[in-house]
Amino acid sequence: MPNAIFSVTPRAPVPEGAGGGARRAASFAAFVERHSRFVYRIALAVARNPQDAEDAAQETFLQIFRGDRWEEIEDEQGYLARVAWRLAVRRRKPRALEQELSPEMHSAISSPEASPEQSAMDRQLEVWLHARIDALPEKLRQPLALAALGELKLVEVAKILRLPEGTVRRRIHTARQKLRQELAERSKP
Amino acid sequence: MNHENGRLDNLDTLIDAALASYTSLEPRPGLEQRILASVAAAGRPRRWGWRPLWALAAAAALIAVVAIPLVFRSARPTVAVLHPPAVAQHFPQSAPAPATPARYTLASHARPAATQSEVSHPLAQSSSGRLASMASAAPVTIALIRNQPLTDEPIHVKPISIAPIQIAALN
Repeated sequence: MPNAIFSVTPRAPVPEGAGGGARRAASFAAFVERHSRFVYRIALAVARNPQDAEDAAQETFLQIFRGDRWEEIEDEQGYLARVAWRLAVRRRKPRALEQELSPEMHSAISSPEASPEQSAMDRQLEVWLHARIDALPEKLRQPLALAALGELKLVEVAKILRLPEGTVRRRIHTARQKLRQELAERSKP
Repeated sequence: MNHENGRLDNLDTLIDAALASYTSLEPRPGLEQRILASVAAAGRPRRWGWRPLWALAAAAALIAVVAIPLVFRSARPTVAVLHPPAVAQHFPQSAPAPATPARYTLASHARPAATQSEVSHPLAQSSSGRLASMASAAPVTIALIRNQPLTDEPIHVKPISIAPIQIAALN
C-alpha cells in the first residue's frame, strides 16, 4: 500500500494525516469515533438497509477526509448529517415493502421484556408500522425519520433537507396523520 | 386482541414507539475501524485544492487563443476564385476562342488556371450560361481575358510590322 497506515489505538487503523503527522491522524480518528454512529443512523433512516447505510457512512467520512477540512467544520453534526443524507439518498433504491425490512431489522424491534405472545403481537404491529412508514412518500418519510432520530432539532432537519422549517413541520404532521389514520383503520374489526 | 385494541387508543404513543425503533438500529460492531480502514485504503487527502482547475482553465484559454485564428484562416475562401482564369475555367467547351490570331499576342507566362478544387464557390448554372453567351458574342475579348497574365511583370508586345505601301501600283 503506498500510504503508510499507523495506529492510534491498538485496534483502530488510522490513515496518515494530510501533513503526514500523527496529530492529524489522531484528530481524524477522534472525529470518526465521535460521529460514526450518528452518521450511520442518518444514513439508515434514509437508505433503510444496514449495508447501504454503512457504505454511505464510509463514503461520508472518506469525502470529508479527502476534503481535508474536518478540523475547520463549525457545526460538525449538521455538516455530517447533510453529507450522509445526500449520499444515502443516492443509495436508496425503490423496493417492495416486504424487502424493506432486513432480518437484522426484524430482530432488532422485538422487546425482550414482553411475554412470547405479547412480544409476537408487538413485533407484528411494529413491523407493520415500519412498513407503513416506509410506504410513505419520501418527502414525508425523510423529515419524519430524521426528526425521530432525536439528535437533530427541527431547524437542523430543515437545513439537511434544504427546506423551510415550516414545511418540515407540516410534512411531519401530515406523515403522522397518515400513520394515525392507517393505524385506526387497522384496529377496526 | 383486547390488549392491542387498548393500545390503539393512544395511537401517537404507538407511532412514537415505532419511530424510535425505526431509527434506533445500531451498526455492526467495529464501524469506526471499518471506516478508518476504508479511508486509509483510499489514499491521502487532496492537498492541491483549486490549483489544477486554474491550470486547466489557463491551458484551455491558451488552446483557444491559438486554435481560433487557425480555424478562421482555414475557413477563408481561396484567392484563386477572384482571378479571371478561374472564372474562365468554367466556360463551356462549346464556345472556344477563335482560331484567328489576335493582333496583339500576350506573353505566355500567365499563371496556370485554378483547378476545380481551388475554387471555393463554383459559379451557378445561370452565371455560367451568361458567361458562355458573352464569350460567343465577343470572342476576341474573352480570348484576351483568358491569356491575361496574373503577375505584375510587364506585358511583352511584339513590335508591329506594317508592310510598306506600294506606291508604284498606284502609278
